[in-house]
Formats: sequence, structure tokens, C-alpha cells
Amino acid sequence: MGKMPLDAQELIQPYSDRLLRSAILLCGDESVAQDLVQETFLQALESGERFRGDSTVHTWLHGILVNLCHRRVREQARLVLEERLAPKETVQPGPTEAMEEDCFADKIAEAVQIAEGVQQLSAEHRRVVVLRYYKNLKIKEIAELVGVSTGTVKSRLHYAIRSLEQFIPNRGNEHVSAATHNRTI
Amino acid sequence: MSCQDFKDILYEYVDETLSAEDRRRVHQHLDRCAECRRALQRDMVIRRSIQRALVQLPAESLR
Repeated sequence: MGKMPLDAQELIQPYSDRLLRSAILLCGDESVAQDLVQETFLQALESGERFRGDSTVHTWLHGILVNLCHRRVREQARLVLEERLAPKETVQPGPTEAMEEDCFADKIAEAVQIAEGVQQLSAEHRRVVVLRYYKNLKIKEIAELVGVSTGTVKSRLHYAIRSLEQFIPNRGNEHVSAATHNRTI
Repeated sequence: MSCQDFKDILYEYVDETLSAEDRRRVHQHLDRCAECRRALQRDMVIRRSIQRALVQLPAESLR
């Protein structure tokens, strides 16, 4: 059970790092993630009196963050579509801005395709993907929940990922070295 | 540990449900196998991509 912290510092200090990590994971862009975390705290402070204390403060904040991220991704996807349909603007952004926008737009386009791919999976394959990558459950937990062996869970995940992999570019810039792999997991 | 052994327990490695001994064997294997390091890296990229995608699906399809 949680209790609404009294002031901004009390709210922000203990949760900002965890929320930022979640936001980066959810939206894939650090500067957008920082905006979203700020917006989360603003919304939380404005609606603090509505916090009923039936979850932890972190769960409550995380819920706000996920909703904001969800909305942002949808807005961005709409903008990307509109931009593709609109005539070219006469004033072009600078090279760095253009690269950042392209990168974010690429990630959104990729996410849209993967999401469509997920919806085309069979119910049993979609279920393990959602439990694994949305609910963040471990293989053993998924096996218990679905009522199949861990081998079956892995096999379903393997099949689902192979189906979705066509939409995921093979990025070479996220290097895992032998010296750092211990710290990356 | 062979590459196939590593692939068989990649999920358990990521889940941190391996025994200390198995984890040590995985690290030894990763230290000398670039292909499996790439497989691990690829798994991280895939995980992030799918997580980003799932956020935008309607909540009812994620139950």
C-alpha cells in the first residue's frame, strides 16, 4: 500500500531514476523519455489528491508514465504518417535535428510494424510475447501461468520472434563486449 | 559449454535464474565466443523493439 508523498522533492527524488529507465525502454529515446518523466511528475502533483493509496507510489507513477508514453507514440505515429503524405516543407531542419527526427521516426515506424506483426500472431504465440515483453515475466512464470512446459514457452517465443524479426533492423551500434556482458544483464 | 548449450539457456541467463555455476560457465563461453555475444546483443535489441511496439497496442489485446 502506498501513501501520497507530501511535496515535489519527496515525490521526485526516490522515483525519477527508475521512471527514466522505464521511459527510455518504452519510447527508445532519452530526450523524449526525460520529457515524459517530467510530464509524469507534473501530472502526479496535479492529481495527487486522487491517489487512493491502493498501490505503491511507484506503480501509480509508472501507470501515468505508460499512459503518457502510449499517447506520445500514437501522436508521433500520426505525425509521421501526416508528414509522409504532406508536400515537402521549404525550411529544412539542421543536420543533427534531421538525424534525430529520422531516428525517432524510424523507431516509431518499426514499432508500428512490429505491433501489427504481434496482432497477426496466433493467440498462443501472442500470449507468450505479451507475458514476456510487456508483463516482463520469466520463462518459468510464463510456463506456470499458461500451463505448459518451459520448453514449449521457449519454442513459442522462438517462433514468434522469428516472425517479428523481419521488422527489426540488425543494428550494430549496441555492442556487447566480453568485458561488459556481465554488467549489461 | 557449446554455442548450442548457450542458446538453450539464453532466456534463463537473461532471467537470472541460472545457478552460480551455470552462470560462470556462460560467462566463460561469452568471453571467448563472439557469435554468442552477438546473439545476446541481438536478443537485447529485439527485446527493446518488441517492448516499444507493445506499448502502443490497445490494452485489451495485452491481457
